[in-house]
Order: sequence, then C-alpha cells, then structure tokens
Amino acid sequence: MTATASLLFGTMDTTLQRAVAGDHESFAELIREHQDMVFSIAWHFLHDRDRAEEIAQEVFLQMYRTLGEIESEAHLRFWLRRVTANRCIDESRRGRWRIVTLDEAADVAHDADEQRDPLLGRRIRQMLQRLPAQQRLAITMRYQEGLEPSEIGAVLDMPLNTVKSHLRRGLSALREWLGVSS
Amino acid sequence: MTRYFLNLILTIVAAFAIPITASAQGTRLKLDFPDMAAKASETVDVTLDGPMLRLAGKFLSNNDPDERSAKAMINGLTGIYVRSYEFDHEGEYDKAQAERIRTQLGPSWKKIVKVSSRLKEDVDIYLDMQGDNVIGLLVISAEPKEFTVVNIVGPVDIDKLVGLEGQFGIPHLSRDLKGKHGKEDHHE
Amino acid sequence: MNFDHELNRALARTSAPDGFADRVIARLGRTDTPRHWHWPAAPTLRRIAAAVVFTLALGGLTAHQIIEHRRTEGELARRQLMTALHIASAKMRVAQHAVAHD
Repeated sequence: MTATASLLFGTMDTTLQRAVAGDHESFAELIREHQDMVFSIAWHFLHDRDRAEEIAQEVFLQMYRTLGEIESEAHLRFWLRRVTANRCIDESRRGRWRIVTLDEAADVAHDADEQRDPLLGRRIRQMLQRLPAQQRLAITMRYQEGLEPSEIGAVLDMPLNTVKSHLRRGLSALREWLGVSS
Repeated sequence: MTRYFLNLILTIVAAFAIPITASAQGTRLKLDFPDMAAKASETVDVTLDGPMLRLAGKFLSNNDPDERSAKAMINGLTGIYVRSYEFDHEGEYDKAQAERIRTQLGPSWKKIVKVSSRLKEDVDIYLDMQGDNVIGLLVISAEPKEFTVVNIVGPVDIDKLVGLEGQFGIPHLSRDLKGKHGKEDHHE
Repeated sequence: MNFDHELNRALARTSAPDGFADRVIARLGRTDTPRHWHWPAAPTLRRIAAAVVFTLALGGLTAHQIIEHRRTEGELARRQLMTALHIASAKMRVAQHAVAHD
C-alpha cells in the first residue's frame, strides 16, 4: 500500500513531513490549507454549518491519528475527500438532517460570487439536500472539487458507471426541481 | 384400500408440490436485449444467481449501513438481475422491448405502480405475489435515453430496498402501496 | 443559462468558520494519543522480524493466490450487488416520489 500510494499520489512535501514527524504547527498549517475543502464538502452535504464544522473537525482529528499512512500531498487530498464523504454518509444515516427553508438559507453567508443570481445558488444548494446521499456527494465532488467521474469513483469507492449514473440522475432531478430546461 | 388412499395422497401432493416450490422461489425473467446492448453508449449488466449472491453477501461490510441492509435484504433471494442501457440520443431503442418482458408475466404478477410521463421517465413496478408474500419484483424504467430493467427473485423487502439511500420528506412506498391496494391490478 | 456554470458557482468552496484550525488543535490537546507505532530500535530485531515475514510470505504464497482470487471474485460480486440494489432503489424512489406527489 505504501509503495502503491507513492506511485499513485507522488511524494511528500516538507510541511507534511514535519506534521508526520509530530510538529503541531505544521499540522495546523495542513488544517488551514485543507479546511475549506473539507468544511465545504460537509456543508454542501448537510447544509448546516455547525454540523459541517463538527464533521470537519472529526476528519482532521482522524487525519492526525493516521498521518503516518499519508504518502503525499495528493494522497492527503484524496484521503480527506474520502473520509469526509464517509463521515457525511454516516451523519446522514443518523436521521438528524433537515431541509432548510429559503429564508434560512438566505441567512447563511457564502463566499462565492453570486452577484448575477444569488437566489439560484441558494436554491441549488437547498435542492441538493433533497437528493439521495450518493448523488449529493457525486455532484459536490464534481462541481465543488472539479473531479472527473473516474476520480469521483475512486474517492467514493464506486464503479465509473455508477458515478455517471448518480451524476446524471442527480442533475436531472435538480433541473426538474429548479425548472431548468436541459 | 389404505394403500390406494396413500397413493392418492401422494399423487395430489406431487401434483401441487412442484408448482408451489417453483412459485415460492419466484420467477426469473428472460432479460436479453442484444440489440440494445449493441447500440447503447453505456451498459450495466448484472447477473447474480444464488451462489454469486451468497458470495457477494460474504463480502458485504457490517460497518457500512447500506451494505448491512443489503446483507439482510438478500437473505432468501435467489437472483438479482439488472440490465440498464444508456444511449447518446433519444429514440435509439425500441420501447416495445418493455412489452416483451411483460408478456412473460404470469397471473401471480401484479402491477403495483405505473408512473407515466410523456417527456421523462416511465416506471412500472410489478410484484410477484404468493398470497400476501412478495416473491419477486420487476421494475421497468423507460426514459428517452435510458432503458432499465430490474428483476429480483425471492422475498423482497421493499422498505429496505427503497431505504438503501436515505431520502427524507417522502412517505414510505410500502405504506402508499397498502393505501393503493384497491388500485392494483392483476397482470393479464 | 449555463446550468453547469451555475452549479460551479453555487457549490464553490466556502471558507471554514474563523478559528477552525485552532479549535481542532485544541481538541487535539485534549485527545492527544501516540499515533505512530515505531519499530523497536534494535536492528537485529528488525532483521529477525523481516526474515520471519519473508518465510511466512513465501510459504503462504499459493494459499494467498487462491484466497486473493476468491477475494477478487467476491469483491466484484459485492460491487455488482450494490450497483444493482442502488439502481433498483433509485427506480423505486422515482415511483415513490410520483406516488407521494400524486
């Protein structure tokens, strides 16, 4: 696994090396570098900032415990995406999720540039919550992280066809709910 | 006299035993669509007979709720068959293919749900029933660019199947089905 | 409207809350446990362990290949099963959705 991971994901950079060696400041630097990615995956999945932060914190604590297995920066990104996705799925199964209303969604600050049509962005994020968990994750990985279907398959441990199917079905449902023609 | 009576009983049992056993296992339908496979841009072809189902069951994780649920669900099933074809363009497949499948359905099959949409997805769901017990499931889904058939042979737990990926805000199908029993029709 | 573009904008990364990293580090302080397992320092011990592992690996190669083949087959069956059930589940939900909005 170690050698394979090196081949697949490249080599370790110095911050990662120092963090693996137990340097807390380097570990904090890694968190700051990846916190937006992890938090955003959880936030888009749950649409609940408190729970998204809770999950993101758990992911980084788990990362700390398994840092020794991380081979490179690319491997770390892959690992973080996968573990965050798994934690999101676990969280959704606890049955605590909810649908936020448009009013609630409007209260949530968002960094993206939404000058043209802010309401559509919020409605997309809201409607995303109605999709089954796997479709939601596939779409988040595609549009938040810009991953190709094959990369999504690797992160979510799914066959390529299943990923494509989740993307297609999810997007089709979103289009329908949002009244967007294909 | 006793011997004659015994023979009569055995004959009656033999006459009924085979159909009962056969129907208790449900019916595997013939799902061959070579023309579609040739034209499709993407194909999913899953054939899991009894031994493969049991093998798959051994590799399902107890830690993953979906897989745990799947493990419970396949208990007692004798086959799962899926054919799904995706096409690049609309109208690339013959919708009459669905009819070929329907002609295989005997009187024990009941149409439970029919969703018709002129522009989107048509979904028909049939259950193979033995009394109140479900012993088979058939789903036929026809979209403009996709055709999917699912045949599950054996006692299917519909709630578990629908609940494989949680989706909130929508009532349970089985409850709706019970509410719509008056609408269900035997397949002719 | 370019729906892909709208999705990219709507699902763009958002900033983690202020002080996020500090809160993780603070939790780390509370739950800090040794995370790395190190080989014993003695090189001899390592060589002995390596020799044992090598011998066991060599002896178990055939058994491993058989098990590996079975495992691959089982994994494939598991994936196929989950794919099949997810497709079935998704189709059932389309019907469920239609019934619910009937």
